[in-house]
Amino acid sequence: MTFRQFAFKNVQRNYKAYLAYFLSCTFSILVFFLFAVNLFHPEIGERFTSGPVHLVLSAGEIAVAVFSLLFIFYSAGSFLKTRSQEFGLLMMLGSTRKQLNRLMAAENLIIGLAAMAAGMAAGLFLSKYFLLIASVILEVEELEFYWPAEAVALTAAGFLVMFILISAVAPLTVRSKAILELLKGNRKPKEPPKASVWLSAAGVLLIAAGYAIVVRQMAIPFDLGVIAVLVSAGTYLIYAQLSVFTLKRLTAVPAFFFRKTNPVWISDLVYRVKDNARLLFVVTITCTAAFTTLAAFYAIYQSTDEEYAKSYPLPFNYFSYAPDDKRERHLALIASALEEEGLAYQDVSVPFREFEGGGRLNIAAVSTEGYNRLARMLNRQALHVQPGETVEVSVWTNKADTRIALRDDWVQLGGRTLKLVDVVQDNIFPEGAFGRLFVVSDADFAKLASAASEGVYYGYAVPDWTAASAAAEKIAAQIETDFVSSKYRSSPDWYKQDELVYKLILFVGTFISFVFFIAAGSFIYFRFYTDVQEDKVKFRNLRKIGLTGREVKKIVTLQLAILFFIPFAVAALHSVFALQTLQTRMAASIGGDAAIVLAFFFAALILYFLLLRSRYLRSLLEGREMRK
Amino acid sequence: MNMLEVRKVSKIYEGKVPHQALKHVDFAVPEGQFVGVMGPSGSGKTTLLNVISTIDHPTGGEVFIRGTEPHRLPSDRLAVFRRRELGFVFQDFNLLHTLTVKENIFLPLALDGVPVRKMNRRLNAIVPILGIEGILDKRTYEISGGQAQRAAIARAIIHEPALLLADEPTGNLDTRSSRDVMELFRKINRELGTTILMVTHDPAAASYCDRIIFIRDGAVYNELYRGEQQRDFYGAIMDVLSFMGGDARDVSTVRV
Repeated sequence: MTFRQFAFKNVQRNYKAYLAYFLSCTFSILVFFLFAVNLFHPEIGERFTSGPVHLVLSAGEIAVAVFSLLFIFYSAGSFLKTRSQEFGLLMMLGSTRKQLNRLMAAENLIIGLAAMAAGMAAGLFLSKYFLLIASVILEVEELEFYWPAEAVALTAAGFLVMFILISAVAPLTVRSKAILELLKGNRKPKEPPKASVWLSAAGVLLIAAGYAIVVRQMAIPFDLGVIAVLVSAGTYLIYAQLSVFTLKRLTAVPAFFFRKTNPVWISDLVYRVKDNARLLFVVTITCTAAFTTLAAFYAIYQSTDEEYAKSYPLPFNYFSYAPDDKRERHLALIASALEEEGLAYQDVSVPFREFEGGGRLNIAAVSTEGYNRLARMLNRQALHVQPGETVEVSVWTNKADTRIALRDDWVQLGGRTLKLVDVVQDNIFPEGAFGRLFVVSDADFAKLASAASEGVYYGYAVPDWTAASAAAEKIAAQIETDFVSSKYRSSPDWYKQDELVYKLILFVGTFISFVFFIAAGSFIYFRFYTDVQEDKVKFRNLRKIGLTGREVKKIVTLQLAILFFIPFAVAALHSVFALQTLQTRMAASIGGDAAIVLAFFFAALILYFLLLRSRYLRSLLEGREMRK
Repeated sequence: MNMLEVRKVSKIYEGKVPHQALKHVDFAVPEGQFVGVMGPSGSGKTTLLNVISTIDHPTGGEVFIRGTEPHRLPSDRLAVFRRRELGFVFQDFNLLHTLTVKENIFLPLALDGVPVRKMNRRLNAIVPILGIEGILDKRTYEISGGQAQRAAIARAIIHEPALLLADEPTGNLDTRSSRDVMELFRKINRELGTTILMVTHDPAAASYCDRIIFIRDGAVYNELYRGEQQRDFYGAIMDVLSFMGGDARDVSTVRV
């Protein structure tokens, strides 16, 4: 038997230990590959080379690459840790560092190459469905399956570099330890964890403070940053201190602690929580970020049409400033484009006058008659402005920070002083068309002098503006506005592009979050699996003193569930508060959408938990004595 | 010639309260001698063994194995030294579960790049002494504790080490298996001439040795040489142990 044969047999017979690592690698490669297949698809390349679609897909690919790097490094680390005793023994028997390094490098490369083959094979098979989903989202004809040579090349090259890197770095983790330590491996008797009552209390207080800022909507500088720091620090202290403190308190209540299996799992959980505090913290924070961004994007996506409808009360808008010699041609172009697309449009025109107001945009005035014509078309309330008075109409959509406060005020307009009597909080022209907008009486409008410019607004309403993107694109391609004599603005084409990008972000985001969830679950599972041999001995001994198989399962399920679900529960709670802040800022209601996102992930999590639990129990209970 | 020389070896564990585990331990073991090291828990016998087996470093003094001070070797030379000059038997066997018994035994030779033909020749030479013919192709979970320890001993001697080190080799075995394993050690010592240093707390196991070194509080406390009768030797060992106090028999098998 040569050393190489030894390495080979080691992998062959101990495949279970390698399987978890292999599957992690395969999974990362599969995800990366699927993204690459989409990214390099010839049709996507043709249609969306430079637009935001390509950007979102590329960003997704980079995120997956970073994630893969971390995930595979972590998996490699815990994989090596389970084998520390074996490495210790080999060193005891006199294997040189070089031999150990070669062994680890060879194993890593073998596993890496196998994972690459498996990941890409699975990827080729799944890419058909992945492309199908992508084509639905991008609203293109079905993306044909193709031979993704570029995706294969990128994935193979990328991961080959990664595995070579890991092969070089992995031995360092073992190298630094003395043989004695390696031989003892995980069997070292651990010091009982300590927890301070002050730090535990500090954790609760920090989180409470963070939440309080959100709930009471306190105005403090850098509020988002302050909340994030408070809640993050508090979360860490809760895992590292409060959990240990609480569990240790429980051990001091004999009536509770010495009931049934409690002494076994509680005393053990103290160590597990303490050991994994950092992991639980990272999982919680990243989950919070994933939940929050996903729910926010979902809410934004859901309300895109409403937001556009608010920003653009009418979908097609043309502002003509005198003198505009192209006016007739432009208006004819808009009308004919709408007719060609079979849109039964209604049009309206409103004359306006602009005055210098000091800002970048001029202050505008319209007559009551003009305003009411537009208002009638939009089913808004008509205004009745008396001579000498004026009503201000917001130029922005109705949001907390854009609302105009009505004060008893006088307005100087074109040499006349008018009394401000009322305000309308909803914009009637496209957002930001003017600096400010005043409605004056018809008599005053005629008398307004010294206008900086004057012109006419033309608006077009169509039955379903969300479906009018073809006409909008056609007009945008042909119209020649110079932003001096005329301005043209339409919503259906922008809406369509935004909707596409949000859909894509949502798709990529959901996919990446989902991948992350699986990874987070696996991390926790890895931690359990690292101790499986030790636990096997422990439970075997407990069986001997009369623990039933059912109780063993109960203990394991309980421990796994606590470590598995607590980070997600805490993350969900954090997200609720995070979304609360976003909600007040975005004037969108997120609650219902966030609940859908959370429910979806929670269902996936339960399935994943059940799967891992049964796998862990199987490996824990294998062996002769345990099955009885 | 002395196979092992331990010269004024000290070991201090640094910490909040520095703890001196070994205090100027000084002894020599001539070639072919079977030496037992005894002492109560916490006396430093395992630390001594770890220092001799090069997996722990002394804070003072020197250790010579066949004239070489291994602690002065660079790490790769040290690994090769361990591979060629030392054999190690553990209390809990430490066999690799992924390999068969035979493959486990071959491991030190495989690490050294010995050709397979030579491996088989070496194995055939020791198999009759060890009585492991029937289990060579079995996996580690298919054999009993006594058989596992025999396999571990085979692994420790297949490369004909200068020094065979054993750490409580009977600690995990029943009385009968313990006796078999100890007889095996004596046989290896007599027939192959292997020098053996064994740490044990079991007077019955110790009575198979030629010489016992008693350690207490990190220093050599007493020595006993075996006479003609094993039974008398056993009695003498018991006498020293009870005289030492902290009677070794009531010390649990779990060492901290």
